[in-house]
Amino acid sequence: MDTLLKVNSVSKRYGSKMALDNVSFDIGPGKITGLLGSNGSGKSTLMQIIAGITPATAGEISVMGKPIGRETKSLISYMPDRPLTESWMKVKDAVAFYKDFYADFNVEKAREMLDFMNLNEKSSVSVLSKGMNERLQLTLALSRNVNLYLLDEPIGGVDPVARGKILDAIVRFYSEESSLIICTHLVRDMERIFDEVMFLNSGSIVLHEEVESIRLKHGRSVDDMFKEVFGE
Amino acid sequence: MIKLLKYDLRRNANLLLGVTVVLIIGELVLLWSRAALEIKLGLTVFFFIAAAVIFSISSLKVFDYNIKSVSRRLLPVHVFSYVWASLLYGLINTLVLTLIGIGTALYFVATVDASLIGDIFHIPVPVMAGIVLEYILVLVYGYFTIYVTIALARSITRKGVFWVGLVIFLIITNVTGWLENLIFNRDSSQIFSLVTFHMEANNGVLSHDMANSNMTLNSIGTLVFEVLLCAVYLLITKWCVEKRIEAK
Repeated sequence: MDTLLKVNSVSKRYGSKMALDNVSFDIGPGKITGLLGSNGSGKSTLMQIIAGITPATAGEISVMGKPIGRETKSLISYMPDRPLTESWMKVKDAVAFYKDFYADFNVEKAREMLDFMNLNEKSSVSVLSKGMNERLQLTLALSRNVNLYLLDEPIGGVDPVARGKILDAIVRFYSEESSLIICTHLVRDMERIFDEVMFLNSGSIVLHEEVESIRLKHGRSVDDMFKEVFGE
Repeated sequence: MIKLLKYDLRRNANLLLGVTVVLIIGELVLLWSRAALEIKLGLTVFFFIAAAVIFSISSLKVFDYNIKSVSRRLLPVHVFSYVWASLLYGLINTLVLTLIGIGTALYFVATVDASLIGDIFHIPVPVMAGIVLEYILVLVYGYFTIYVTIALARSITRKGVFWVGLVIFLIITNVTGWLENLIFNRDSSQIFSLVTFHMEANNGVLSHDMANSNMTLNSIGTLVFEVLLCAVYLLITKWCVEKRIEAK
């Protein structure tokens, strides 16, 4: 199958504000795509619609030909920009929660990732720092064997050391047959891992191109291009 | 559904166990105390109302959490699972409260008039089954009414959900009550319609009738009507969760 994710004319309106305006794009398998945009550009809304937790106002989305719904929740692993774990949980409870609900969850991989991330299974989720919590959320999301991973701001608000660790984990534990969409505004830190990028500005896709092509055609880095497009 | 219920119970375990333990200890202290019967009864009613309010709010919050939290909405489960898990959670809470309540009630009945205990055990099985069935149906209908209220309120607005929900709840209960009255000529405030029992205290003497089965076409029609309403509420809830409610 050539197209893993197909987004067709998707719009989302909040009252009078248009969060997404007629967004269309395709993502093929085996790609790491950066969904880039400034704060409030609609990145998280688009991720939530693809993940199936926010209904679109108009348009259609399909994953491997299946419209967004219960079935596609088994094909997508989504890491939102806030913790999915609950305050009563220990790290091992969070792992058990994923194991209980997701048949594709790989406990061995999760243990390996927890070890890599220096996370103790006996730690209580409520006492983890923001950086450690991001590491836990990433561990849970990447330990599922799915076709599409959606990571919403995986390094948002964490220190440079934690950022490096999280990026290393993404590269090390991501399965190459799957696709990954990473939404961020921290372009400089993340551009080294992208195959292609999409720029989302005020709810519209203004650029969707391979990273290599940007470098060759425009002679500049993704970060420079981002500053040019979003510079005020 | 059972897995959802398991995590709902674990998430609220401290609250549920805390309230249950405090209620049991409070009741035992009361029953063993030398306070007057009236004071014991009054405090018992107060304790049970407090526990019932806490359990009810907890049950409704579980449903609300299931339909609006990102962690629950991401799960590859059917929308109905959110409803069934929340319903079972509410029924389990109610069962615990009912069992403690029955124990306490038996003590008080035995204190006032021990012969009443014998009467309770002589209630015909069909009548007893009717009481249990109708009790469960009343609970299920009540929970479904509030679930659909929450789902509609969350579909309509992102702010002031409580007040919008209150208005929706009043509209739903008044319209369905009016319809029941119109179609079945039944007082909608009456909880039990299949079974009737009568108890009266006069000058400290308790008089009572045996429980009787009261199955008329109207009372059965009301039940069928409410079962149909439950199905409609379930479908509306499903539509709201799938098409309108955003996880946050």
